[in-house]
Amino acid sequence: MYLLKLSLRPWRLALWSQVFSALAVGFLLVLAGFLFWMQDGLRTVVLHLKGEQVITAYLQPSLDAQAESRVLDQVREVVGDQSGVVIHLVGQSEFLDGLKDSYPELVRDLKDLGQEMNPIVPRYVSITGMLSDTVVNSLRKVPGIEAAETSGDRFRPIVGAFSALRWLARVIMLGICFALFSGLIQLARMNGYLHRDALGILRLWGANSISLMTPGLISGVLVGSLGGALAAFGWLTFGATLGGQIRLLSPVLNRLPPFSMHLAWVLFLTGSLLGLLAGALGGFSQREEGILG
Amino acid sequence: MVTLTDVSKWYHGQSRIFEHVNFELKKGDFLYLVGGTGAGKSSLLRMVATEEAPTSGEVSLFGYRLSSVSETTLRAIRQSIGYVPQGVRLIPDLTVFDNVALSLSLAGHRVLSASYKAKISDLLNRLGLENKREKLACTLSGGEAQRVAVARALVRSPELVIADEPTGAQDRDYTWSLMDLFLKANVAGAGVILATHDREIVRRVRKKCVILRKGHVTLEEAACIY
Repeated sequence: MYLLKLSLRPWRLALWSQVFSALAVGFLLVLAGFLFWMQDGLRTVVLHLKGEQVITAYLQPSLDAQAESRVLDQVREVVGDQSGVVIHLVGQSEFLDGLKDSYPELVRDLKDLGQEMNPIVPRYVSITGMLSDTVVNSLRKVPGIEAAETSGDRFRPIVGAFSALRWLARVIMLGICFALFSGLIQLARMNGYLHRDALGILRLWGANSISLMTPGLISGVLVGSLGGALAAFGWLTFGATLGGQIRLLSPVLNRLPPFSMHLAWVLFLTGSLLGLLAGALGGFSQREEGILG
Repeated sequence: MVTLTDVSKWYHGQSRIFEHVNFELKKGDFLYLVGGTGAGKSSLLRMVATEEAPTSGEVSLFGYRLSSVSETTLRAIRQSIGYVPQGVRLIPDLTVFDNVALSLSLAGHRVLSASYKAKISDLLNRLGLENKREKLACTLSGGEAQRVAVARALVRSPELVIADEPTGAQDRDYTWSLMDLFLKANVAGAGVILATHDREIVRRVRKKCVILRKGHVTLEEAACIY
């Protein structure tokens, strides 16, 4: 009880230092939480961008209907029996139907060409789903396929940028952790100086190491926990809104996970743990002071 | 109980405070430590109270050489000492009662029994602090704080009492009340070392004297002629 009263001393003597430290801890924790959420979510996005493709395999114009069916079977064979993969043959009439609403005159002109439109209007097989990188090359070797292209080629620069962004987020998170930890240690040391006289007396009265460390420990936990609580609150309010906005930015980013209550708890516990650790180190340095221990 | 063997003290960058000090305090002894301002009384007491180490020489308490005791033994030694430092050093955030009770708590009495609470109350009453027991230590006058520091030192019935100018801020009535408490502790078996420059105390309560003069010690066994 006496030690608890002692541990509240910094809040009486240096209230604003404690409050601003807790605010700083809260802000940095929210930032770290946001970066963690982003880099973790981008992992899923990158995996999808790498794996999920739309391959368009164009059929040779000279193919008749029988050969077309044979090619389609071979395409199925190359793709294999994978769940979630959709293989769809788009014939000339379906292709023109797709254009009809946007370019009705062009469609009419093409249809007027009769058999002569065969080399102009493409037929292709569209393959959508999680596919390996080798599928597109295998498809190019199928007899009757004139050319094949994949959406993966278009996403390659984005995948690279997102991967770089993930690493950058991790580095900044590490920096934030260092800043948090060193800030809390400095605060613990300052609190230790505020306790110094009292601890000097306790030491002379024969206090044990735990008693000498307790005030610093509790001071650290108080600031860390308050910072963690502020971070959890910030996460559940502003963080959720910000995350929602980021998810709306593009369909790709919509794959980022929704904000979770779970991470709010993690932030609170991280703040408390950092405070405990910094308080223990600050308290330990105070325990070591004094000529005769 | 207390043995100083060839003890010298310098502070960094200063000339020597005292050197080659030898004296012994036996169980039940009462010893005045007298000398002018700056003679080194407080430095000497801080060493005996285990707050500072000597620059050279050896301080032994209860048969243990302080230079080589383990942390556990040092803690036990400290729990057997009642120390009234010159600067009083109460914990300002605690009440008068809590300051005194904390001393007991650290001596192993985690939960204060009714008898200990009564003992604290009795001490505070004797020292005219009965109305101050719930006041924060930081609100006390210098004299009141000094009396609380004495109560804090004596409440744990220490084997060794070390008091550095404990009556310096007291009027005559409280001076004799404090001396009465020190003498009672002494009669109960505690060794007492009391630093003072109050000649009247030394003359009226005649005990052995250690006189610090020009960095050297003279021990006067009987009547002190300070």
